[in-house]
Amino acid sequence: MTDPRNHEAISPDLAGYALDALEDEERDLVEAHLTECAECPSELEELMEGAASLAFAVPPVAPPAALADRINTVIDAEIALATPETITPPAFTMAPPRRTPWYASPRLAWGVSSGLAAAFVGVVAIAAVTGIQLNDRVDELEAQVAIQDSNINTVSASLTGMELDAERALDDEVQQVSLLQESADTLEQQVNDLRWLQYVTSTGAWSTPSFFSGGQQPQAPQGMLITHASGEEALLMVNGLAPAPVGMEYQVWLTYEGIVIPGRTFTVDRNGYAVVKLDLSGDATEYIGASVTVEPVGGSVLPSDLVVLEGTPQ
Amino acid sequence: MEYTEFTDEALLAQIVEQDRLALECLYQRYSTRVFSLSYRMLSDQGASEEVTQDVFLNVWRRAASYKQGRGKFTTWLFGIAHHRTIDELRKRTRGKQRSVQNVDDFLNLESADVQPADAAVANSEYATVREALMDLPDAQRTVIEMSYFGGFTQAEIAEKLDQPLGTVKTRMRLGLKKLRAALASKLRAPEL
Repeated sequence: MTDPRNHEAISPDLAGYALDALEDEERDLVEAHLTECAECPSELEELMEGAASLAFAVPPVAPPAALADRINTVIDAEIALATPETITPPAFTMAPPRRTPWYASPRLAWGVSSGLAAAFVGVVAIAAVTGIQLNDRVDELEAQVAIQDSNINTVSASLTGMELDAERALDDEVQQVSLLQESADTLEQQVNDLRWLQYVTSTGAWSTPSFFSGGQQPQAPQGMLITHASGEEALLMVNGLAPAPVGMEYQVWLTYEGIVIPGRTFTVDRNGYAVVKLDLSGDATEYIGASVTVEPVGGSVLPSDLVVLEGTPQ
Repeated sequence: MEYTEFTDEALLAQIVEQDRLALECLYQRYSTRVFSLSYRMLSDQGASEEVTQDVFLNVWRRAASYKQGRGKFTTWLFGIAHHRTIDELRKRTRGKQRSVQNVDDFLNLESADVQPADAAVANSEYATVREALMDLPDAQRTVIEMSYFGGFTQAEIAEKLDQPLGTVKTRMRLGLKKLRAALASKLRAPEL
């Protein structure tokens, strides 16, 4: 049932939502409210029609003729990727990122490198052959993260005392913080990746990992799924997923012939990273597809159409 | 029946079945509009081509996610196009001071590149919407232009215009409703 106080607070933002004029946090609140309000969806539809008409308010300019060919080329490539006989070796087919309710995709803050899946394959191989001491590397990277965090704290502390009229200097400092934060995030990501790798390589009897993706964008979310030879469990690692909307969680699904098995729900950290252990009573090695969807907290019995990662194994 | 006689929704249903010709038909109908919008907001041909490509690839990949009961196809399509363009615009201007552009500056640009076959219809739609936009009270038109074309958030607009945030929200809402009402019977997509 709609909370009237919530409705009164959120409904004035519908026009801003239709015009893409909200901050991300405001947008999340509106989208959460839309799932529970009986009145707002119809008003939003009206406002969005008004907003869409603005697309006609600029003088028409035709795109270059070659653009249609480029789009066809991309589609050809996607179809080829989705056809196992035509590719060697296929990992997971590319899955289209789904958008959030109404018309637009979630404003996901992709936070992972585009070559993550490929990098994992390389790192796994190198680790297997050379027996790299992962613990040392993890410790080293954690130390670097600590140093970076300390640097951030130092710079942040220096910012607090600055006067408003020193706006230019303040901007520079903010940029420094941002750069340091990015650097720390990258290092933290590497630590997470290496922890995962260490876990996988230390337990043995795991299948070759299968990778899947949330799209073709350079920073689209990535996933990796491995199953244990016993068939009793599987592990999923995801990267680059934005935090789920308020009141929602991510949920894993494994598809077998004619049946979809719900897996655990999970959340991601600020880097969009999570490792999910799936306990399975059936034969985990027989699955023919896997996906991650956005579901209400606690999970669902059947998957929604808000798919953020999807693929099929080799 | 030729695909050119299909409604947008019928073409979308064909796209769900992986029908490439249906996508080409929708591209013919709307690529100029999508590209024009992005180009006028970004002033960058390459980036606008990327946006247009992304939008139609989205249509191809996600045709099944379009829900007929939740509005017209064009609302969905231009929503995606604008959202994608805004993302690009804000990425470029993040951390920079932006000036308030006079949207009329680019509304007045020549449309020399428009393809002859579409020119009459496209220019007619352009004139119709622009007239409806100009009929709005100045205060409402300003906040709509700043947000939709300039990419400013409602909070940024309130600050730049030195107006209460609630006033900006109200003007946006009233302006959009008036626009929709003014254009409801005039802007018909080629839905036959």
